[in-house]
Amino acid sequence: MQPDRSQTRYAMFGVLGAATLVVIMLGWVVARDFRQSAEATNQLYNRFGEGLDLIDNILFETGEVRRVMLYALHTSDANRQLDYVDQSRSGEVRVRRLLESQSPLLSTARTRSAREAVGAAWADYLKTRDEVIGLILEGSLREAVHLDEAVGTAEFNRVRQALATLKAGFEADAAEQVEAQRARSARATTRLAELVLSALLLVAVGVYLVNRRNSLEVVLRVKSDFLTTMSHELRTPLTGVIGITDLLWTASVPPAQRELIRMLRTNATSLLALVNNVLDYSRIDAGLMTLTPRRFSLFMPVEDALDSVSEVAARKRLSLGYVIDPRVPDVITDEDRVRQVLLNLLSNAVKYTETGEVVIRAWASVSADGIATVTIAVRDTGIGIPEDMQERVFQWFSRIEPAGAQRIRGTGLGLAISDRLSRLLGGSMAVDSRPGQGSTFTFVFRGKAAAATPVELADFRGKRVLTVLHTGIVGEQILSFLRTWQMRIVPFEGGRPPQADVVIVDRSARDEDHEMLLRNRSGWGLDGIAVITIDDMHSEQPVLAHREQVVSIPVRRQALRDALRAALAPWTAAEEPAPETRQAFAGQALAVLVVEDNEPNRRVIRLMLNELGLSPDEAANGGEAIDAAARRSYDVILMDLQMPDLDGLEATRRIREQERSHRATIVALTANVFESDVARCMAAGMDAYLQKPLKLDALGDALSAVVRRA
Amino acid sequence: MGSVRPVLLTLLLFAPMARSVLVRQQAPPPQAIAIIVHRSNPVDDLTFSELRRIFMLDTQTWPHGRKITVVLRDKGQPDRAEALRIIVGLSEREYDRHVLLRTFQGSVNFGPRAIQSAAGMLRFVYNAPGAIGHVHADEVDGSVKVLRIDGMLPDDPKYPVRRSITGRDDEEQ
Repeated sequence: MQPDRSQTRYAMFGVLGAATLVVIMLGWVVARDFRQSAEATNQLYNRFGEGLDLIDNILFETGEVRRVMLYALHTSDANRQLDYVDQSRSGEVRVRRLLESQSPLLSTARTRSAREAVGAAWADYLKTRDEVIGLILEGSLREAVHLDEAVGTAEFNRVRQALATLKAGFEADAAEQVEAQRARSARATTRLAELVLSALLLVAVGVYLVNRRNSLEVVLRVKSDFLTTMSHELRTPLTGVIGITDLLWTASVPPAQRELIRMLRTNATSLLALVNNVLDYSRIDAGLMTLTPRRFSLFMPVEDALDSVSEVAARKRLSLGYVIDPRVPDVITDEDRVRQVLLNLLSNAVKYTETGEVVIRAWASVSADGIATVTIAVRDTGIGIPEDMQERVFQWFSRIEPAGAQRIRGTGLGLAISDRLSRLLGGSMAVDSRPGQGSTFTFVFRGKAAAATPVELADFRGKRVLTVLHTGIVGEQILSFLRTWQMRIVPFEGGRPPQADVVIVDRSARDEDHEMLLRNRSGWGLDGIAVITIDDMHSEQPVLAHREQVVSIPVRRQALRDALRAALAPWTAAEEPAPETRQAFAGQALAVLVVEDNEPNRRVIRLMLNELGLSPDEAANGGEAIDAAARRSYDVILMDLQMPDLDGLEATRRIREQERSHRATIVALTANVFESDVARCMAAGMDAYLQKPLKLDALGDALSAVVRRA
Repeated sequence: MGSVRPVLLTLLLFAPMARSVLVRQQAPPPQAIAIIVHRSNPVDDLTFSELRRIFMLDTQTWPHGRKITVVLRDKGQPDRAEALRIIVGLSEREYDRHVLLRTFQGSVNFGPRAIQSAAGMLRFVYNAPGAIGHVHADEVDGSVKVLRIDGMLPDDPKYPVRRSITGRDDEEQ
């Protein structure tokens, strides 16, 4: 889930970044347009001003030409008259230059014709003016005045009129151009405004996304913290419940109550599995699930998983077994996760199968670079899954309830977790199923290949084994073991069997074969031959002979090997059963301190230690533990991690500080099983950890390790 | 070579004197006075007598009907006196008295116009279609028309409107 969310987030910010880039580029273009538009507007106004100035100058100069000329009428001095004439002619030159000046705004179709009209009227007027000048200079003032008033004035007015027309045309042209430029500027302004709005929108979206991301991270952190805390809070009482049921199971109680205890333990274990599933879901969802690779043989997780479902399978009388290709190497990857996936698949298989068998088959291939691809198929003969529902089985909280099937409890997390774990292990998960015929879940994972642990064959090679076996998976599994161990297999065929070193009888085999063997045992010379009986877990049938070894279904390889080894060994009447765990440490001076703030849990641990023959001291918090450790040198301190006031880590640190020569073995008791928690324990000075709920066997093993070290 | 050097030195000493002798021998003809009219005036040629009648205000219109405006230099200027002496044979005072008399007689409405400079004379004639004036021949430009007098232009050696050889006019006191 985490990679998907990260990818989505990166994609989201990628798109945002690209959009920002586009806006910046557009902004550059629009800003350029806007600047050009502004410059064009300025140029337009400048030209407009220059054009108006030009027309006004022409107007002024033409007036001057006439006015100065008329001044000559008011003097009789020819020299002064000549000065006025010269001024008039200079004005004429200026007017000509103005009229000939090149102005873009005076070169439109409209202004060009107006200018021509001005030029024509001006030329006409100049002729009259020259005449008037001549008359003035010649002293014919009356004629001069008369000519000017009669002709000059009209012509001059025509010039003014033409100039007015030119000005009006120019102003109309200018107005049109200004209007066009204003429209362009308005468009540029609008685009700029839109761009600014877009940029603001992008910023807003960015801010929203950042806030949203922060909020989501807070929510995720809160959820993770919540689930971690809840797991601890749920696991703590479960510790008590499962511990107490363990103790009750070992106590002498009537059979009817044993069934109640069994149900109690089953339910508590289911609840613990549910809590574990929720924890796994939260860790996978938060991307916190990590692998702890180590070398292991595939037999271990397969047999452990089969053991876990054996009780339910036995009640349903399901055949439960496995066949692992002997060429499957040991693999280096996270064994616990492989076991977890197998357990999930097996639990489902047993849950949805009422008759028939549940079978695991495993095989592997190893690539040239030493990577093993292990495939495990879990096949059942259960109700099956309709084809249209098969795609959904690996989704979170997806529960498949085929029509006709009775409602079966489940959270819809198991297969989803298995699917994610298989991917985390470099593999995959697939399902092939037919309604009414059963399902096969194929789980693939990868890991570095290591040579398989060699099997000691010296005891068994060549030994003859008379087998009375069923044709189902149990018989197939036993025969595969015997072949691997290179034993000679002699199937019982109804008559007197050939000589054998050991007999293996499957109680689920045909009754007549079984009865025949029992009847003729002495006659066939089998009295001295040891018998290994393969039986259901809780069978109450009597044993066949005094030298009988019973191996329960599902058959563990080690159990069969131990049984064979015992059966083939020389028999002595004084043979003692293996020592039990109970009272294993009685008489040993092992000083143990239990540090646990929860009183019922403390009591359970005390009772477990009593079972092991030990009498521990107790401390209800970290402070008491430090005081107790100061008073007495303990060999073992069982330290709860989460306690009020002073937690287990801090208490451990202080105990380590006050230790002199003697060093206690401090074992953490914790429901938190994250790798980081283990690392914190070790950093604080602890030596080992036991996972809650505490089990008697695990506690015994831990104490045994301490004794061995001592 | 030794006998040549004193001769060259002698020639160098007398060279300025020789130049003045040469100049005196090549003196130009007396300066001509050009009679100018407006370029649009159809008249190209006058006899000296017609010229004299115009300046004496006896003739007051051109053949094409335009009124004749006589233009002289300002009173007191040598060019005015010279022109009057050459063209009408009167001193400046005699001519002024003549004009005054004609004015009182009512035969003229407007006497000759007086212009301060030769350039002003040219500008006046350029602007007044009926004007007739005088400038020294070397002051003429393309803005006016120069009339032939007795069929001759000022560059003709026999051109009649010309200053005396002595270069000095007899001024009436």
